[in-house]
Amino acid sequence: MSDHGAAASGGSRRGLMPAFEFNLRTSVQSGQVAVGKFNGRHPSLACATPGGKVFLHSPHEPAAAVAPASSGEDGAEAPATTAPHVRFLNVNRQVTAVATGYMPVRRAGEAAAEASEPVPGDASASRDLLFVGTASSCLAYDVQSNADVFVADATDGAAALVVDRLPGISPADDAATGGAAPAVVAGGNCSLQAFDETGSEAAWLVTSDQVSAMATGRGLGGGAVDASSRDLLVASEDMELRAFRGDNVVMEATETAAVTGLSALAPGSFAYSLSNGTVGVYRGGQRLWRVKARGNATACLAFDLDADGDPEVLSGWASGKVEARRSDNGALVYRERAAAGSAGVAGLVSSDYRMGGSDDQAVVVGADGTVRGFLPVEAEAAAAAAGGGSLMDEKGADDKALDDLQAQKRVAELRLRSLKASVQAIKTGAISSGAIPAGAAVGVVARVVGRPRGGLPDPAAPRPRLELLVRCSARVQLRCAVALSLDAAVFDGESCVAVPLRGADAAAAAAQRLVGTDHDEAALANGALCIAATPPRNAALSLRVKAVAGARATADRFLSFDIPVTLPEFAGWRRMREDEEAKAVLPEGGVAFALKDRPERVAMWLNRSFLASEGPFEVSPDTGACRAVFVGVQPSAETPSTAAHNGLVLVVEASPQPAGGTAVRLRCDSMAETADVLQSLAASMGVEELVPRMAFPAEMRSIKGLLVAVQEANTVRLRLSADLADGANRVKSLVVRAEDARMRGDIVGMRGAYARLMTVNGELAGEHAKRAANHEALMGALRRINTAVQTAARLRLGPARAQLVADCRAALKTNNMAGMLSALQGAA
Amino acid sequence: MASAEVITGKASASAGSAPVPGVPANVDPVFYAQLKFRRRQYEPCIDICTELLQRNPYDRAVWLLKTRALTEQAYVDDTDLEEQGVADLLMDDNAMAQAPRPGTSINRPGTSSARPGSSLDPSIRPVTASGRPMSGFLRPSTAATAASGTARMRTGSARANSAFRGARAGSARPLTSLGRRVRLGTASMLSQKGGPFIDVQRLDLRKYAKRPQLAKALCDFLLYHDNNPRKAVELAAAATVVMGYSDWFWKSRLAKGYYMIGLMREAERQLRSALGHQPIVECFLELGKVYLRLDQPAAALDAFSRGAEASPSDVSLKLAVARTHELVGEAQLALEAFRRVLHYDASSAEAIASLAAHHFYSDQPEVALKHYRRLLQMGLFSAELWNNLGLSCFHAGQYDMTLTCFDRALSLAGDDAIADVWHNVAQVAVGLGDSALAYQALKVALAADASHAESMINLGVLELRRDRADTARSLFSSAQRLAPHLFEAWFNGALLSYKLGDFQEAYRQVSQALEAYPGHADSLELMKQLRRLFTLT
Repeated sequence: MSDHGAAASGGSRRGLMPAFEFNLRTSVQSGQVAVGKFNGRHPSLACATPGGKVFLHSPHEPAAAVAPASSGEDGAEAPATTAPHVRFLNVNRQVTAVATGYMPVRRAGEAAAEASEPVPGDASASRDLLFVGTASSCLAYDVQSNADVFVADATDGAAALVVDRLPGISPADDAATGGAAPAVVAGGNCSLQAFDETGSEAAWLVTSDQVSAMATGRGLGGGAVDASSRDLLVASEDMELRAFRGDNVVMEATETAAVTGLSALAPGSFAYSLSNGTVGVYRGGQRLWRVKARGNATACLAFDLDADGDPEVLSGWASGKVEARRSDNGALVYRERAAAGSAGVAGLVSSDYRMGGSDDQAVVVGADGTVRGFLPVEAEAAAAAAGGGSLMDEKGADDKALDDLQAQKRVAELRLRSLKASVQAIKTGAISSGAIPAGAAVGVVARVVGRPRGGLPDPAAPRPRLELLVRCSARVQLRCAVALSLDAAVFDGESCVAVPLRGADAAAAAAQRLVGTDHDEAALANGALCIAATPPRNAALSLRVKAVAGARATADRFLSFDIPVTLPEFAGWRRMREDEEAKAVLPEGGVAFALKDRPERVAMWLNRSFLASEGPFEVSPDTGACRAVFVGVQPSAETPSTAAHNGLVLVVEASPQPAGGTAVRLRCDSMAETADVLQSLAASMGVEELVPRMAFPAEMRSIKGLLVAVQEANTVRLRLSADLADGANRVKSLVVRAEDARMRGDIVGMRGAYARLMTVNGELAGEHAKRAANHEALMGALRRINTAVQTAARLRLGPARAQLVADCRAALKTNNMAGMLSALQGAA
Repeated sequence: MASAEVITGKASASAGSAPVPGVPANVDPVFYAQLKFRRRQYEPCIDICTELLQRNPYDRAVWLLKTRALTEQAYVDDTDLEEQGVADLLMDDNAMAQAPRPGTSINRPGTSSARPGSSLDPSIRPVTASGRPMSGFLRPSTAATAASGTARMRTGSARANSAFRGARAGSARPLTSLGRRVRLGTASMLSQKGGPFIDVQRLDLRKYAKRPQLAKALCDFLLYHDNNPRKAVELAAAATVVMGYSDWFWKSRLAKGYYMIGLMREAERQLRSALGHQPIVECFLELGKVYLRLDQPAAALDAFSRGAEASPSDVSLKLAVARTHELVGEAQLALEAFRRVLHYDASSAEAIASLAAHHFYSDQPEVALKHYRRLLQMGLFSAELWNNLGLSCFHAGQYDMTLTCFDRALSLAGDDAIADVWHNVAQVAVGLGDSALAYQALKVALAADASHAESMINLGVLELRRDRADTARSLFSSAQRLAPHLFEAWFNGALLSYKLGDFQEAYRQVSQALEAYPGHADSLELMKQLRRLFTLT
């Protein structure tokens, strides 16, 4: 979109200088690339390959120290060395994440003081460890001494790993640094686990969905940045970004696709890349810019390529393309197009991989094992290049302002020209009267239509749904309307187009039209357009509607309108009328709490956050209470939607208390929806600490069932893995037996052995399928439990929140079902 | 051990009135059976228990006693690293690093021990049939991991051949290590009258898990007698849950089961967790064993040392430390560790033997002689010991004792050691200048063990002196085929080819010699000469 930088520097190579390129001839799993100094001195590349292996490429270690490489690999490609210096590590399980980082290793017999902190200058003391995440564990491995440091159980898997000193998450460090000790954080299925250097769990946090990327940095969540704080940034597959400071969530944001890469920039800002080809930057918790392109961005990296102290955002793409953008405005600085047939970028890391001196190189690792290194352009070279005017940052502010004005001028000129042409046309009679009346206007109203029957609507009844009604003033007619939503999947895709129906189509549509929405008919007859929307979650959304209107439907001159529409947070809920309410089945679960404010404030909040299509919410004059019943919109069955509030009933009641303040009751069977409402209400009232009374009998029942399922799945898993290993042993012995028979020339015996081998192999495959199904079930149950913990935590505000998560974790660890349920309901 | 005695009172009440065969009159049969158990006379104990159980199959005390007696009968101390099976050697991918740095792996013994001057230098200390430096004490682990010696052995059928060969002459390796367990504990294969004592398939393990005393005995029975780690794991897992995940015993048994099945990582996790509850020596030993199987000697050393910190006077942990150092090739550290062992246990045969070997190979045969005599005083009486005594005497200049010692060694030696003794006799004969005796001794050695490569090499040298180059050449080449890790065979072959003028062949062989022992000075010299020849022409 903002490709104006491409013309200036797309072809030139002034931004990044290719420094080296070689091929390791091993495929690399996307995103699983890390670089670390495993001996404290020389950087090595650690990448995961399919088949449960991790390879290390250490070009700088003395050749004698690296074992002779396995046969069949000659190191012709390696630039500075003769041997390929690739070593493989067997993990024997599907590797899901690779990370490197320093962590003190306490070996028996060593003095604790010596081991706890790296001594400056002593390289071997500050060597990095390799961390490998698999679906069920997190392994810390000391490459230098070929020894495990710890293997920690990560029941939720370790899909992403990050190593850092995180205050509030890592254990406190007793050493003089005062900060936190390094910890490795494994992001798994709805949860984050932090391990200290002994492999014991230091913290456990909940997040939503499978974690897809993590990063750490200073002040990433925005707010005041103090020197010692470090935030943990977590992206999950449901497109959520969260920043944790300690165990508190300080920032939440929603992106439009799965996050593939996160990288901290200067304090307070970070860059991200999405699988739908978006690259962008957040600063202070707010999105600064984003750019979307075709393709799949697979990695991003903060890398200062022009030595101005402000790192650029480097992004790698599935097509093999690498591009660099400025972190403050997203202008393209450099782009390296992929050669034909080249594999995608698997990872980006920055390191002084050539060990040439002070400059780090950006190392691009391709999925086929191609490693490319790029040097940042020298500062002097940049200054010299500025004469050519090709570097964006050398352009003065005046030039930029002039550019903007020029663009505006071009637009104005175009418009003027078209007006002139149409005036000319009308005068000459080429068009009869296609001119648009001066007072033409188009308005957009969001409303919820459809009436549920009795709480749980029967399938035949029209479903309540959210519509954007595009209306225009009397003397013009709408030709078409386009609604765009860049933030969230309100429509199927990013946009939705509506055109007026004509003739028979219109009649058929009218026949199908909803019963009881009488004013609809009038509006639609007037040529209004109706766009169905399904807000995926309870969040305020801003949409744009572009409408094209003309004097007549057949006119050839149109005016286009661009109307911003803001949907309130709970646009997906429709208020029930009293007659409907009487028929509805009211929910049995809910929360109750007291507020200091009067019920009027609650009514105000209702008016702000819900669509008041049935008239504004008011406090009843006689009781002083405020009550509203809602039903969640339900998109038609054919439109896929992940919205959870389908057809649910929500009751908000606020009644004044004799002692002042308001007693609030939120009744809803879904904990998640209640939590959304509670959070919004608390935020608007400025409440910081809240522990409501809660009861969700239906959800508790299902959680109980889930806990039982988890227990069963765990028992079965143990037996299955033992069976599998036993089968593997039998396979081994049969292979040897067959080989033995072959060497002896006993063909009959060999055939027998191979026949049995085939049977055992088939059994093994079957066992594996069983195990996979069991794992799937276990993961599903664990995910739902973790989600429940997170939702329950969101029903509280203040310190009680972290306490609840800790209580739940303790109950989960000891398999204490009753404890878990009481912790969830806060009955402690 | 205590659990058998606890329930005596209850048991005596249930004893029948009719006399039980084998039990003296007026003696409670259960008490008598317990007495037999404590005297380690398991066979009569089992017989009495079987009889009692026939009368009352629901007598739990007798059942427990019989279970324990059967277990003890089949018990093997498995805290040492056991011999790995062929399949494990050929298809093992437990080791984390495929090509670890020198000195950090037990699979690459030659890498750090090649340091010149150390007593593990292959030019000073001979290597075993699997290519490791000869240790002073025969352990299954010293023979293990034969296949990963040199690059040439790592591929093809040469590797399979060497993997099939056992550590001792004339023996074959078991197929898998679990297979070896079955071979060791043949108890499970013995047919018992009236069917097996405990039919594991029909047991409700969860029910047993709730009775800790019975369950513990049953678990050990499954592990040691039945060699059924799968069922043991199931029982231990259920019992761990019953005990609220806080009993080290069940975690260590779980780990043992996992180890036997081959799930190293699971075993490691359980052992670490068990050690979190209580520092138990056995768990430290097992954890170290798991790490050695994962080829992570540094982590194993760490486990052993932490155990040694927790129980400072335990000898087995110190021995394990010493062994691990020796496996990695850290001769000096191993020496110190063995000395520490002796400090606590002055009669540790393994420590004494290892120290003796070290002193012998570092040119102090007198000290070695003292150590071997100590072993003799302790009551050890074996061909190997007499053989070593003989060698030490010879090198210490006590010629009068030498041949007597070898006499005794020969009279004691079985099939697996006799070739080595004759080989040593030949050595002594060469030292005495009696080449006819040496020639004869080597011939006898080869007659005893046709694949004794060292004897072949020496015989080859003797044949050369008799100007029979062709015989020598064929001897060298068969030694090369049998033991590619012996650099002597390659070097001698190369030298012979060089002298005969076959430079190309000499170059090939000397390269192999250098691969087996990169620091061999004579091979390097020969290589240099060959290179000069090649570049000149």
